[in-house]
Amino acid sequence: MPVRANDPYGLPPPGGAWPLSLAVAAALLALWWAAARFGWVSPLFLPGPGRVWRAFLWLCSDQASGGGLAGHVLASLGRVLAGFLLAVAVALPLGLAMGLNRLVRAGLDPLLEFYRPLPPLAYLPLTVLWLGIGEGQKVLLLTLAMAPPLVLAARAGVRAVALEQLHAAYAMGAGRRQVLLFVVLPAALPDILTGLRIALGFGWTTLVAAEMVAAQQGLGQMVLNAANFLRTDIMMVGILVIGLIAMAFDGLMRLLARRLTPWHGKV
Amino acid sequence: MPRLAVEQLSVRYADPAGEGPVLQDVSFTLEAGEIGVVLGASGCGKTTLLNALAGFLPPTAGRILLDGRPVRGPGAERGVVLQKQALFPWLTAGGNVEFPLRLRGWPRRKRRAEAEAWLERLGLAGCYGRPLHQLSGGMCQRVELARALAADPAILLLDEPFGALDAFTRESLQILLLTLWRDSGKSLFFITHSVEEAAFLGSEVLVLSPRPGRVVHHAKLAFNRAFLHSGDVRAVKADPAFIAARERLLEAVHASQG
Repeated sequence: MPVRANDPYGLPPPGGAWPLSLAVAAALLALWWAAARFGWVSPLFLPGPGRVWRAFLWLCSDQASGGGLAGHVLASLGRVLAGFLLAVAVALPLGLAMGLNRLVRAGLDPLLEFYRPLPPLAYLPLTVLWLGIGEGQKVLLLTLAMAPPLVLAARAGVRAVALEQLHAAYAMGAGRRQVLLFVVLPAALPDILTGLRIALGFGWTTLVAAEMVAAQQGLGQMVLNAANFLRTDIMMVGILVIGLIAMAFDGLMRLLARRLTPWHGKV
Repeated sequence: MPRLAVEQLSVRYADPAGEGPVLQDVSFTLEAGEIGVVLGASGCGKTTLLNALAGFLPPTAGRILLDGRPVRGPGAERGVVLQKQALFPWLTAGGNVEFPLRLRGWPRRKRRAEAEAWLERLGLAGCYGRPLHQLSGGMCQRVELARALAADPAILLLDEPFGALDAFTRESLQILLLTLWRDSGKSLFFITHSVEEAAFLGSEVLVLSPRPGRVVHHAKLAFNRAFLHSGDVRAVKADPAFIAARERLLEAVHASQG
C-alpha cells in the first residue's frame, strides 16, 4: 500500500473526514426528528424539525412583528459590526503601540490585565447607567468586549518579526517608518487576523447576551421574547440562526486569513 | 584609501555573563573589490564583528571606516546576508529582490525589470512570482544574495550564508558568489567556520581567536582568482598549494584555541 506524504509517524493526521462529519450531523438531525415524531419528548421542550421550519417561514413572512427575522438579524449584525469597527480602530493602534513602545506597554499593561478577564456582562449594567438602553450602549459594550483580544493580538504580532528581518531591512537602507510599514506590519498580520477572528466571535457571544437584558430588537431579544410566550419553536430558530451566523463569521475570517496570509505557517 | 578600515575595534557586552570583551583590538583593512574572510570557531565573536560593521552594534572602542567615513548605524552602502534566513515570506521571490528598490521609490515596472535581471543572474529565471515556501533552501539563499546585491551596496557583509546548506549546494553557491564578485566588482566581507571555504573565497583571510576575539593570523590568498581564471573548482581545491594554505589556516585556528 502506498504511504501518504505529510503523514509522519507520531503526529495526529492532518485534516478531517467530511463524510463522517456529515454523517454525524445527519444522524443528530434524524434523532431530533424521531424524538419529536414518536413523542419521546414533549413538543413544549423540543419541537420537531418540521415545526421549527414552519416557525422559521412564519418569522420570514410579513405577519411577524418587529420586521420579522430579517429585522432581528439586521439589528444584531449592525450592532456587532459597528462595535467591531470601533474596536479595530481603537485597539489595533493601541496594541501596535504597546508592542513597539516600552513606555506605552508599561502604562497600559496593568489596565489591560485587569479589564481583559472581566466578563462583559459584569460591566453591562454600568454601560446602561451611562448611556441608557439605546444603540450607543450596545455598541460601547461590544467595543469594550472586543478590544482586549485585538490589543493582545496586535501586541503579540509585533513580536512575530524576526531580528534578522529587521536587520536586513535596515541594511537595505530602510528608515524606521518603512520598517514599521513594510516589515513589522506584514509580519504581524497573521496574529492580527487571529485576533480579529477571536474578537468577532467573542463580540457575537456578548451581543446576544446583552440583547437579552435590554433591547427592543435583535436575535437575543427574539429568543428571550419567545421564551416568555413558551414559543420553543421560535427559540430554536433563534438559536440556530445565531449559531449559523457565528459559523459564517468564523468561516469568513478564516477565508480572509487564507487570502491575505497564504504564506503563514509554511516558511 | 581602503574600502573598509577597522581600527583597534573592541566590543564588550554590558551583561555580567560576558566578563571579558568579545572583540579586542581588532584591526584590518580591505581594499575595494577584494574578498575579506574571517575564519574562527564558534564563539570567537565573528558575528559580533559583522554586527559592528553593519552598524547594528556600536563599538566599545575603536573605529570602523567605510571609504574613510566612520560607520554610525546601519546603511544601504553595507548590505548583509545573514546566517539565519531573513527573507520576507509575505513577498514573492521577486518581491523580496525588489524590496530595496521599493524603499527608494523606484517605479513598479523598473524595479520589476531589475529584480528579474538579478534573479536570472542567480540562476532563478522565471521565479519572480514564486512564493518563498515553494523554493528550496539553496534557492532561498540565492534570493537573499539577489536582494542584497539589488540594493547595490559598496560592500556586502555575509555571515555564514552557506552554513545551513549541504556540501554540494554549498560549493555551487561558492562558485556563484565568485562569479558575481567578478561581474559586479563588489567588495565582500565573508564570515565562515569552514576552513576550506575561507581558503577558497578569501583574498584576505583573518583568523580570530575565541574570547577575547583577536586577529591571530592573517593570510593573503588568491585561489578565488585562480578559480575564476581556470573555471575548474576541483583543480583548485585539489592543488597542493591550496591544500597547504588550507592546512596552515587550520593550524592557526587550532593554535588560537590554546
